[in-house]
Amino acid sequence: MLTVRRLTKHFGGVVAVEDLSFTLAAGEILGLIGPNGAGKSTIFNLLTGLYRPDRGEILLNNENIIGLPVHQYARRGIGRTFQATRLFFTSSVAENIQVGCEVFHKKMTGQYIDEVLDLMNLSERIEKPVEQLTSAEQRRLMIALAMCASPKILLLDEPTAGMIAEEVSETLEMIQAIRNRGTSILFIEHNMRAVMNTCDRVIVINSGKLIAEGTPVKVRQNPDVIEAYLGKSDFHDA
Amino acid sequence: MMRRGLSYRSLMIITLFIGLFLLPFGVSYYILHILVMIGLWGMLILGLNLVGSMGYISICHGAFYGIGAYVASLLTLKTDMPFALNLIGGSASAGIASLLIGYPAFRVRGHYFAIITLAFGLIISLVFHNWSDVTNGDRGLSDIMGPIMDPMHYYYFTVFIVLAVILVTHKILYSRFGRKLRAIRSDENLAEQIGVKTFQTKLLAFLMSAVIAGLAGGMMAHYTNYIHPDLFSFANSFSMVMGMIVGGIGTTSGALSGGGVAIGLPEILRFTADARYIVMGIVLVLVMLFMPSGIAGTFYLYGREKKGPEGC
Repeated sequence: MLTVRRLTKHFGGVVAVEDLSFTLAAGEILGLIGPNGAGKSTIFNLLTGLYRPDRGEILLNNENIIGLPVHQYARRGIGRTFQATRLFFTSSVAENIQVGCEVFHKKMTGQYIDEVLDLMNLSERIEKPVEQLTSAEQRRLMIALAMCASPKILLLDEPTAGMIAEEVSETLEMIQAIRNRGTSILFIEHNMRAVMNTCDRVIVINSGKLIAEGTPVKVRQNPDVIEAYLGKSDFHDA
Repeated sequence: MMRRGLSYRSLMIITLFIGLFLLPFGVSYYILHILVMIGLWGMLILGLNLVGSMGYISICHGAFYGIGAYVASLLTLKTDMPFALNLIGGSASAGIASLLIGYPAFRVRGHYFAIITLAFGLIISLVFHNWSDVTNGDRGLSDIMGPIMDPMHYYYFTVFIVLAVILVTHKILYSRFGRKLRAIRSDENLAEQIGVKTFQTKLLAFLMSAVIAGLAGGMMAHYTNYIHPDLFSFANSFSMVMGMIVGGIGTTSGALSGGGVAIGLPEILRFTADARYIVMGIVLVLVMLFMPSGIAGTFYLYGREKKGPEGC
């Protein structure tokens, strides 16, 4: 479904992403992990057109999508969330979702809005101003907003950041439910337990380079990964 | 509850219509003139609101107002076209000008956009002053006669057009398109990321806003029967922005109260001569400090506060 080939991005002299290649299959949950500053969010920005790569290819169903206007990425079926919560904060939950859904569902908008809100367990909060939501609800609303496009691929940037254990489990269940609808998910997460229990495969990057790839069990035993994460107790505990 | 709400609203609308109908009776021509000008400026700010709703400030709406005025006037003076077509011609010309400036200007954001519109406004002002063969330079254009010459009739004509513009802009602001505008104001990058064609959306809002300004310009020219370049200067563009901010960005009642402030305040302060601009500046600063949502926004927030939290 998504093929990334030899993707490279430099910011001046800083190497953000170097020669990165990976694939994301249909219906797969692929974990993208790495230490802070490894280039994970930069990869998301490259995959959604916010940054233009210096080299490489991003193929969506064998079509190179580099250079498209940013709004076209969503229209081609790539939805995303952000590391820091980004929503239309001056509006209500309903208006946030309405804006997103109306772009893609000219008819039956109401039905799709209900479906997305149900999926993310936000139906009860529909009339609330975004500012009145809890942090966990705001992060779930961000996923709901990305789901408005009925994406084929969903890029989730730390979807459980700042959540308590119960909220994390609930959100991971929702992510599984999204996958069960046929959406492929690329998933940046620092909560290693969440990554190991949710992902089908994991890729690990460090300083913008791919250092390991495979099943969660295989990746956690990789010496390069252990070295990159040295001192991160949650990685060993996962 | 809903029946009560609806009947109250209907009553308000009927009262408003009766009020607007009776208003010109028993007032002097001077007051009538002020009312017509408030209506025209209300239109300008209603249009400008479409741009303001997406978080952008345009400082060239004086130019669109002027283009509409000059083109409609020239069509009246040089051709036998009917009045309505002359007004449409003025509006359309302002719309075309907005596309020419909007296309490059919306490649940048925020203050940079405002500066480009400022430059465009200054250029158009220079054109009005110096393209004497067409605009008659500083002497302006006179004898712009339309079919409505009686001030009271023109008042009713203005009220009719303003109500139509209110209806259209209200529909726009609360439509899918309006939600996109507010999304752009809230977080343009996020709007783009969820698939909103932000460039096209902004350009269309700018176009509609300029068309309204052009219509107001054509109406003003046929009302005063005389136009000259100073009516469409940077100062007027700035006054429109001030009216929009003081009234409250993105609201219909705010646009009309902003029009009232932009036209009414200088008239009230006329005895202070040029010092009125200082007073107007002070008013703007005070509003921004103490009523950041503008007159309409402050009333709305006050009403919500009085009503109490949701569910109570």
